[in-house]
Amino acid sequence: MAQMECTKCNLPMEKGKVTITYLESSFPVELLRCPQCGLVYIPEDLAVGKMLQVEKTLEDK
Amino acid sequence: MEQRELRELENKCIQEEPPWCTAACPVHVDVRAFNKEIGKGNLATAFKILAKAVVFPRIIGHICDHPCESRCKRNEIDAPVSIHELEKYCVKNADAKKRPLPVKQSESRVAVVGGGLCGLTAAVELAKRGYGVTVYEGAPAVGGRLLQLPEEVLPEDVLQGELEILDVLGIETVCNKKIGTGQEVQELRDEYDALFVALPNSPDLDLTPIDKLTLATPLDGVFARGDTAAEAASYIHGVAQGKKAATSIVRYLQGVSLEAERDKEGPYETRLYTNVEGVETVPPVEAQDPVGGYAPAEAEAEARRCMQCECLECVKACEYLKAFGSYPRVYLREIYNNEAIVMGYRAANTLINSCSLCGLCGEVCPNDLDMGEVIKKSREGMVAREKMPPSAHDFPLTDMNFSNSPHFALMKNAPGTDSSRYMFFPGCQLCASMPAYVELAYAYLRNTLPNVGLSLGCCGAPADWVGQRELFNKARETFLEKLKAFGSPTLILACSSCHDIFRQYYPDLAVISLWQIYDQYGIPAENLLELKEKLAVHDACAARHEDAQQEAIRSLLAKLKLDFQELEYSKDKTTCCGFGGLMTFANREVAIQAIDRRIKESPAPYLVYCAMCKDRFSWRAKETYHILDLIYGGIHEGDPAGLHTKENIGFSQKRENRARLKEKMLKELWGEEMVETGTQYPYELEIEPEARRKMEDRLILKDDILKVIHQAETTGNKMLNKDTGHYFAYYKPVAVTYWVEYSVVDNIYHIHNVYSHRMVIGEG
Repeated sequence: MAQMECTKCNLPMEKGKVTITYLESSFPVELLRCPQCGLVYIPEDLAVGKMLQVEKTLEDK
Repeated sequence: MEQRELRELENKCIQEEPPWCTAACPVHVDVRAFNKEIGKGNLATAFKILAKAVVFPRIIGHICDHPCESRCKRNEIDAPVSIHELEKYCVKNADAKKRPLPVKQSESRVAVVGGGLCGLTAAVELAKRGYGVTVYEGAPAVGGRLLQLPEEVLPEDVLQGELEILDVLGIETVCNKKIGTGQEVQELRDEYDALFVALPNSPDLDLTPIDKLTLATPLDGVFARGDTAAEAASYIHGVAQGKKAATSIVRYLQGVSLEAERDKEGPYETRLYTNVEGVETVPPVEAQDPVGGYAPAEAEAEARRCMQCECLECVKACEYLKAFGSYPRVYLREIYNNEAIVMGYRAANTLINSCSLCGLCGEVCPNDLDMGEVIKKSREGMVAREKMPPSAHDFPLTDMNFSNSPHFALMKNAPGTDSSRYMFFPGCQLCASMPAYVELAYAYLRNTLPNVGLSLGCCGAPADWVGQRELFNKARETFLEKLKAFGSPTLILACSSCHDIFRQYYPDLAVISLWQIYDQYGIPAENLLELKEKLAVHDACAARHEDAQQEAIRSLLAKLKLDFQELEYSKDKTTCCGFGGLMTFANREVAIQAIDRRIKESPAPYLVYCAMCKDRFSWRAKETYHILDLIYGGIHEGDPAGLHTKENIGFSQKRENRARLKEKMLKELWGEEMVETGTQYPYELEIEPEARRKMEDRLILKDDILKVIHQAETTGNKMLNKDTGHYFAYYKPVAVTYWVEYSVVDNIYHIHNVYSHRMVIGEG
């Protein structure tokens, strides 16, 4: 896992539960986030992989 | 889609119609499947196919008079498949299988008068369904004509072996009992629940008239053969009559309609279409041993002569129809079901959104079924019900909105004039990828014709294609409202799709293609491209019925003294470049298949007259020239890359080109400054090639990247990857969240990666 730091808060980002939403469906996901400001990091492979898949499925619902 | 409409459309797709052999067969043996199995050496399966249609497959296999062969499609090429020889081979060599026993027993009893092939067939069919059957035969044994056949035609052991089923099924046979009068028939009828008189031509029995469809006679519960003397001479007809009688008796005893759904019994004309063009001749296989019949290798070779007749004309012509693994009749049902779903998964969304709407299927279909028309309607329904997947067409529709925004849209009289007799409408795609030619073409038009105005914008084709009627109508109304101030000029068009849209939705406007103007008034000679190669002409799918455009292009090529060839699919049968219907956005993989197939039709560089065609072909590295490249490409002398014949221009550049073109023309021709210049960001970007490629694949514009950086740099909301020293930031301008991975060196923003998603971070 990449060493990510929130440059605004100067804090290392930590794993935490984040909710992501699409077309009125919400999912809890474990992602890196800033413990202070809540900025979230979504890596490329997640965005163009699993997330894209879920998006397509929800769009066909 | 209404169910009635579905039925009408399904009826047009004849792929599921039987082949000629099966339709000609009185009992509809699936000859095509039979041949296929023999061809593969699967005798047991082939035998089962035969046994499904006839209750005495080994008898019929030996003696069938095979009306199928005279209707075999191979008659049009060389000689029919020797179906009967294959049958014989099959029944002689296939392993015997145990016959199934009846599953239920009925109280009803049926008498069959006549123990020939017809009567016995009816008896077996009825006994298999559990009825008690008694066969009355005037001769000392059942078998009728079969008993007289010579050994080499029907061996005695085969006949007797087949007749064993009578005992197995418990069929009673009463021989030496002739039923020869109407009185005797009546007496039998009183004794049994139903009766079948399986004697051909029995005037003494006073049963006429016999209903041809059901074999019913005026006597309740009495059925009789109704075939002509000629038909009765045919064994297979006799079998068909026996089966027909059994069906009627079952229905009679069950108290259901005798007539319903019986029009396809017996031989009939199939509606199937099979194209035999280009089918190679293959001489029929003769058996080395004419008496013993085919050896296995001979039979298999002969069976493989079967063309496996089917239609699939559209599927053969279209990569999209092929990609989903089936054919329109099946797709129609899937589309219908997709529309009917209220809650649940809409499995056909991708099918519906992947079509280019090019109309080629309708051109090659023997019944003119145009799937594009069906699909366009379906898309309109999806949009109306708010069930269109948001991601499918977001990018091109946003692009259309940009083109009709003040960033690009414009309508003006020619400089120094106050009215327009003509209005040049070059279209958004030409302005995006070849803006310099637009300026030159407009200059030519002003020099050639009086009062030529200029109109920049999008014709609305993207909205039309994807079913966004409201959006389309709005764009149309805006355009017409603006045009009012210009009188009713003739539109000069440089894009086949625009042409198609104007013809369809603006029937009151006069339109002409730019190519016709060049053809009529002369080609400007100043910037001609020096080209020696022979070109292949690709007609735009939107111009498939536009003879004037097609002819003008060919005439221009001749005037330019350029050698050219026609492609296999051209003019009214041309194929889509992959842009039509926005397939390239909704289904990239299928679009690539369609483009790659088209560009491989000829190794010659292609000549196109639609900017989208050039864009899609060059995207797949096909050397492609637009007609304007030939006329104005000389301006790229010393810079052949400027022709972009093998590499297309990215989406960001296209958008920028449009805005710049408007700005430049406004300034140079009318001395006006552009009011809407958009937000200018103070970041100099250096985009890595891999990131550039991803921008195109993922439909991310330079403008999107600038917005992400701007938001990160002004708010400080960004992350640092400590391993690489790269920043990550994201921003969601409307519906899509864009991510940029970047680093800053000497005030230059190096873009390492870009990606996006539509899911929203947070509760949404």
